[in-house]
Amino acid sequence: MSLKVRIGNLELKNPFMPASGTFGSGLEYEDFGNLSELGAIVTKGVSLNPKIGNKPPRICELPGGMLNSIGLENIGIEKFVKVLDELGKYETNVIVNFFGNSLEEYIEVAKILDGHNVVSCLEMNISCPNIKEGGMCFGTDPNMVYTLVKEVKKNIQKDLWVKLTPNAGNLISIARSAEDAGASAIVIANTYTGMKVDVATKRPVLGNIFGGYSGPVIKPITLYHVFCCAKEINVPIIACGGIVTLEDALEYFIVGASAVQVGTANFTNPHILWELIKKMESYLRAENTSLSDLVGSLKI
Amino acid sequence: MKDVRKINCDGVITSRRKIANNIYHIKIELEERFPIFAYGNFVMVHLKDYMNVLLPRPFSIFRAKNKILELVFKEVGTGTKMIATSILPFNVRVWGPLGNSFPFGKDMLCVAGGLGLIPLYQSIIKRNFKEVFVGFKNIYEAYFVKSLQKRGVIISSDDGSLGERGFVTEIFYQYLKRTNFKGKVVSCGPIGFLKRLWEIEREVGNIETYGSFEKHMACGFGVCLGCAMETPWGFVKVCSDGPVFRLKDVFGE
Repeated sequence: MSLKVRIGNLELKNPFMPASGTFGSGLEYEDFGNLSELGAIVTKGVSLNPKIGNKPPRICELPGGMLNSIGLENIGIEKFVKVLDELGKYETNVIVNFFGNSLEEYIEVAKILDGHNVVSCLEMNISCPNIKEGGMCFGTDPNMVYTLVKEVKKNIQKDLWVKLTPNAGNLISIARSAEDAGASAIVIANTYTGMKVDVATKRPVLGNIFGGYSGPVIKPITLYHVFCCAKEINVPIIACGGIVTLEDALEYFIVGASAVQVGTANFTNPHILWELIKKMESYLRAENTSLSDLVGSLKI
Repeated sequence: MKDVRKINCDGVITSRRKIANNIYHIKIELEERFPIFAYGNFVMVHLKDYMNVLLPRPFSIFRAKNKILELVFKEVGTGTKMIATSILPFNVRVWGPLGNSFPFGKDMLCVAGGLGLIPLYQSIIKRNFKEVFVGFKNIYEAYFVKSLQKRGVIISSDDGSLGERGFVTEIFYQYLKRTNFKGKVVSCGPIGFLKRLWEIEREVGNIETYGSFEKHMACGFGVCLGCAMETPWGFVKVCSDGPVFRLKDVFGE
């Protein structure tokens, strides 16, 4: 059974890839499996200038999930380009997640990545504050999303995936804006903003006060977002939220996702992506079905 | 010692022994042979059957031979409580060895506080040090005492219920003043202990102190960036830049 899937101009050998920020540059996982076997490598978000990240504590475990406030720590595009050179030896797609605090920053990073031969396509994180617009999150306003995607796309040749924030409320209009502006795929979604208080000290547990909630506990909510958007948009959806088991991934395919990203579960089992790929192969063989038949097969 | 082979496999906790107040010694039977490791390396242990303990936990390697990995830990929270109380056999997933290790050398000193003894214990047993100082809170939290005594380790307790009375850092400090020791010191213990050792180094000069640090971690190999530790020169990752650091590089000039 073929696990191949086409997302825009890219062909993926299977629909499994890591979620940005949980897989480093990919090279950190060399010890755990052959990166060439993955559908894609998705690297940690990169910005024009290096970012030192947020004040610790940065992580907090909660039942069924975790909060993180890493603060998009990264080495900046100039140094990151050297890491990309090293990823070139793997025979799979390299998707680079990037972000900025202004339209100009987004465009500048996108142009550099577009010109690098190792990069297969770009994944845009729109969960960032727009400094010029008073710090309002780009990803919560359909008009801002449209302009951002349109302007970035104008400046690049490669495919552009747009990763939505679930904190936008109405994801359908955001997804539509991204699609209309030229996104090749929509990634649904990022983490849910949340916090935790230490009742003994009456202080927030995270140094940054709040953070992003991820893990198996968010899966039903993100699944619902994917279900809603899949009916309304035509470009492929890549689902991302709380996948731990093959069943989790299958649910996303059934509601309409063409591929999936695994995030927090990479921390609880560094070999999870490889295991999911094997289990998916067995599942399709046992059920005598194909991935394309599975996608959007929800019966209501 | 980076670039050693790492394993990532299932294992079963087959035995558990309480060796002091809230301190346990466990044996994990792994599916694979545990690789060569260096003193100071750690492993991540995931309680894979329990969703409420989502993240793996870092543990210093106490001992490993063939497929048996031994850990010693203190019950401090949800995860360690689960390991301390669950019915055996208990399923886990283990990956490692991770992180860097203590420096090697002749005539070094060793200072350990409480559970900080664990990553240093095997090299203490192999008599790699010129002098060893081990401090416990009290006699109830002390472990491996006979074996340490047999090897001439200077044992102390904060309340005097075992060995010399006082903080191990102060007993070590008195020794330095008495002997004018010059050279390397390796250490592991709570953060206040490590800070005090840095103060001592700054005061006496002539010594280079290395300490093993601890932070909450999600992955253990430099990906999640959750274990960031602030230094005067920016953040360092305790898991992959450490866990062993020169104290000067953490606490500053």
